Amino acid sequence: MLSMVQRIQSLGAAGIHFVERVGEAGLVLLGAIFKKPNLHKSFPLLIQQIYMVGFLSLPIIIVAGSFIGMVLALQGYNILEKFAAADELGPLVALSVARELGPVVTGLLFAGRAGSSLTAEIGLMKATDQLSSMELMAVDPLQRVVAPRFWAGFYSLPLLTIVFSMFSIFGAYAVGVDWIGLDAGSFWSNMQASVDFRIDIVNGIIKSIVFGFFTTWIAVYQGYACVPTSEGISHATTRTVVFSSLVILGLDFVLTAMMMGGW
Amino acid sequence: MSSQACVQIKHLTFSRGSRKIFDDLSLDVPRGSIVGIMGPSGTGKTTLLRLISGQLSPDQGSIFLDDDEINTLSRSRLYQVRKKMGMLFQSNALFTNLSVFDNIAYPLRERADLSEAFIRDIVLMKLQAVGLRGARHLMPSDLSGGMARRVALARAIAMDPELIMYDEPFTGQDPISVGMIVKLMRLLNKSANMTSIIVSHDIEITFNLVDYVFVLADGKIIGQGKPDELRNSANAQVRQFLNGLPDGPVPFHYPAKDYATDLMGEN
Repeated sequence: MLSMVQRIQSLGAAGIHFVERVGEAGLVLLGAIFKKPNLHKSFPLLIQQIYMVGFLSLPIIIVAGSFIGMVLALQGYNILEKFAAADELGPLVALSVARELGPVVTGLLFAGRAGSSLTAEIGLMKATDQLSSMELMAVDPLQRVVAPRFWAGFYSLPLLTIVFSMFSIFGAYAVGVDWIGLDAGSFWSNMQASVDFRIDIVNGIIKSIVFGFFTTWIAVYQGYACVPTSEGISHATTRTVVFSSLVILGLDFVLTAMMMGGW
Repeated sequence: MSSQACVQIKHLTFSRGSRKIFDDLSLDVPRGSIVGIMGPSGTGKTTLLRLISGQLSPDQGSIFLDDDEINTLSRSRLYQVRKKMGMLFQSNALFTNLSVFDNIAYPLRERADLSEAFIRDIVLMKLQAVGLRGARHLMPSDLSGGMARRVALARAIAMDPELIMYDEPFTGQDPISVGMIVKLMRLLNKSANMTSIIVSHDIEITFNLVDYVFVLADGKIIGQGKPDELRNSANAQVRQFLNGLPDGPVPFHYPAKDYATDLMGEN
């Protein structure tokens, strides 16, 4: 049975460990992005990583976006119909997706699909001494491995969020207009009248930029700092998905509060 | 430091957690020589290579490569000094997303200001040396263990380093691969005057190859000398290691409480 003092000690040790890890993650980020890049070598790596992290995530984003739009339309129609406001289905879906569901669900899917993949890839490179061999060749792995992956994730997530939102709206259109039979003109014109570019769309994209930054940072750091064993990589991959998901949901609340507060 | 020494280690102390890996270790690796680092598993042989290459920092003491004290160098200077080093990793450490050709070209593209045509010629020369010029288009996953080791060796010598470190180069290799690797090591040492440090458990092969051997145990050097001198060593620990005796000064059993007590203990 732990005494009260021991409990306080272990709490303090956990706190110190957490601060150490955050500091270490900060140093990894500094080493990766605050150095003058060699564009000739970095640009092809960045394009390659945008393909791996962003382009290859498109199928899951498109499918998930379409289904979420369709479900939103079904649920929304059933509720709006009770208030004789079914024509407001377009604004309901567009606002939900642009403000919240687009950035958040894309971020969560991105963490599960691309973040875990980044962590596993970098972790396996570490376990098989590929990072050490780079060091021995006088090549900085933070520049050649971590930086292109970080920037690829940072650039990709906002673009994926836009794709997700578009397909959600198409999905809602398919259900609301083609299936249920709502008027297409009302669907689009009400949406256009209700959605404000600055307040709804730009704020949603700002959220996705913030999520992209933190999700990719967590993913590359967990891979870079993992224990280089199969169990260590497994734990790091799990931590990437869990931490990224919690950070996305927590930051979403903070950002929404700031944006609604007139920020 | 002595102008004859390529690598000089002075009073090195290094710990991992509470476990002391090296305790006041000093050794010199003469320039142009082939030196073997041997000893039981867990004595820190690979750690020593990582300390020499600056991937780890000692708790105390100093490590010199030529006139550069590795553990005090800035990162940029360390990267300059590393151009003089090559290392063959136990795991080969080939980049799995690059072909054999691109793996060997990687350090040249990154660290040498050479035209692509010149890089191609160098890569083909290195591949010819390891007998794999015809395998240049293969991916690492297509290679056998022996071929991967030879590709890793070709990459380690791509920049013509002054010092090359081999971490268990013979492990898991068939006799033909071992013969080829040994031949290449000798050739590199003689023709390019490379200094070589070999970490290996294979006593016969290593003793036939090296000029000098250090035997490590318990964080210290327990024996050193030319292979023939070591074969006649009076040190019981060295004799146990060289003769492969399962029990002796280095116990077969990991420290544990009494066997009978353990068996009768909690069920």
